[in-house]
Amino acid sequence: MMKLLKVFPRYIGLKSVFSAIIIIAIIINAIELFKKTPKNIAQRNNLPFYFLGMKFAGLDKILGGVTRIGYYTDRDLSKNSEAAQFSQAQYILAPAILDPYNLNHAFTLFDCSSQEKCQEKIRASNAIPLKKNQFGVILAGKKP
Amino acid sequence: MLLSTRLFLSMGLGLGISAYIVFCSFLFLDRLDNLFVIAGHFILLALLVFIGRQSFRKEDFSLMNFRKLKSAGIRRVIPWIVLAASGLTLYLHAGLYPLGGWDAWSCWNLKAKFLFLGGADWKNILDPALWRSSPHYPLLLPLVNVWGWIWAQDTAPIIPLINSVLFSLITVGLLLSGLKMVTGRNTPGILGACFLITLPFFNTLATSQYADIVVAYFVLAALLCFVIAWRGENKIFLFLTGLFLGFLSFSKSEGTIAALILAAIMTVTLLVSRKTKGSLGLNSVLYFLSGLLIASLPTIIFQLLYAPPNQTFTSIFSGLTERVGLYRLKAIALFFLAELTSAKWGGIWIILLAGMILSVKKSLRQEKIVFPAFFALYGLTVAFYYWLNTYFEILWWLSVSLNRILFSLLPAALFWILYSFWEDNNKEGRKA
Repeated sequence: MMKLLKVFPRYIGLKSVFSAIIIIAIIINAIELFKKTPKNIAQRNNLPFYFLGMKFAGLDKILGGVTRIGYYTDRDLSKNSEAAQFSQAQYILAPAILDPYNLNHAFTLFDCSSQEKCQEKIRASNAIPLKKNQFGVILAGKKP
Repeated sequence: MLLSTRLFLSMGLGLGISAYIVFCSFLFLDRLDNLFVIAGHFILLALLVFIGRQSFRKEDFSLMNFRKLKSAGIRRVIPWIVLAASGLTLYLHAGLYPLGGWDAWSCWNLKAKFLFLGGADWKNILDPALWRSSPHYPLLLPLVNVWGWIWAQDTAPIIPLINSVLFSLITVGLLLSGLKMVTGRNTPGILGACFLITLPFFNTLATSQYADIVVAYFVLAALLCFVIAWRGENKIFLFLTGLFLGFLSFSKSEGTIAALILAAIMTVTLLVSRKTKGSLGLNSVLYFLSGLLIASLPTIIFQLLYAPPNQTFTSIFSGLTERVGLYRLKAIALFFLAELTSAKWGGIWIILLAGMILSVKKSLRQEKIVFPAFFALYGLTVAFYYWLNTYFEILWWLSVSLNRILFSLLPAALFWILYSFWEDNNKEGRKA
């Protein structure tokens, strides 16, 4: 055994062994990559929404040069999916800053789990609905 | 020097310089001025052509000589095939998430949008209400995206996507050509590039439009330039090393820490080395430091004038018990271990560790000492910060951030081990 170990490096250099290990790893990774990529592409193509923030697209046109707007939701923003939606809304509406749960701004976005909850909150905050998009997001303005 | 290495270095350098010119618009005019930015580029370009007119005449663009290319045969073409395949894989992955991952829309592209559309209110990106976007992060990637949007005349999502693919591709290309340059052989570069590009996790993260690929590129570029400077006793490459470290410092907070550590290690290495006292000359340290200072100016200005304090920081010393400290320490150590051996890395870290052990003498020799010194010091600093900052629940925080830190070190780690392994057969490389 010891003899074999001594002779081994003469025939197969350390570099060749190391290369072989890397090549094996590359082949395994490549198989994984070829399996995963088409599956991921198919999955993405079947999704109705690329981006949850699209729910807020178009509302930025009404805001004009407003730099700060309120944002109200009855959902829990500490949850991952809700936080993602909030961040995507912020991205779509930038350069306006979304101020969560602050209803004192001239404009506020109401994004609730039901229309009734939204309407109720709008009434309570003394605002007027200005625009509602097809996803149920309401942009409301403060009553003068 | 290989034209391909020069190409991949100059692309990163160019993107960095473009970002700095855009930053100057905000600094001097307090808003984005497209004319200022474009004129700035033309003036700089004219200046560089004027300064470099002598070297252009002397230049041997050997790779553009098609006769040579034909005679070299398939061996010369393989790296380009690998690079083309990398581009295709990266493009396919980027297309899966055209608007990028979580941090793309909640941080990097959001900042770019504020800079591009914010007018005189661009400083709103620093508003505490935007704490989710880490307002204290430096701005290099958003500025690169803004530079692209100036040409698109819109906040087109394709620009950040192209930039992420571009940075990923030049990182792979730099690894490929850098290893060819220092070892004189194609094999290590091809192995390194294939290892990176066949990793599904690398593809996903590289094309997520995060700044981690920018950090990965500049770490590799700075270390490669240092190695080239050392081997070729070329002071200009020390200046370039300094420039790349400056860009690195403006890429992300982690990049700033990495740049500081690398700058300290490289300065010490240069100061204590016999080579500096001999052939390289003592003024080589000045070359390095002047490059570093010039490219670090935006970071210094941003930190002094604009950056708000980090809102996601609570020190462990603010009222936590000793037990919590010990728990965090254990969690960090175990998580580091679990992450390095995680299946998503396809065994790359274990193979690199094996490679380091097998080439231990060569991998710690001379200029290569900066690699392990950097990885060790950076690793310790990161671990200390994880322990110190108790703002986030530690396991959640480690699960979302440690993989990105390792990702940004991966190309440099691959370069170090493959370079050490193949160093013997580099007669040609030494002449470079």
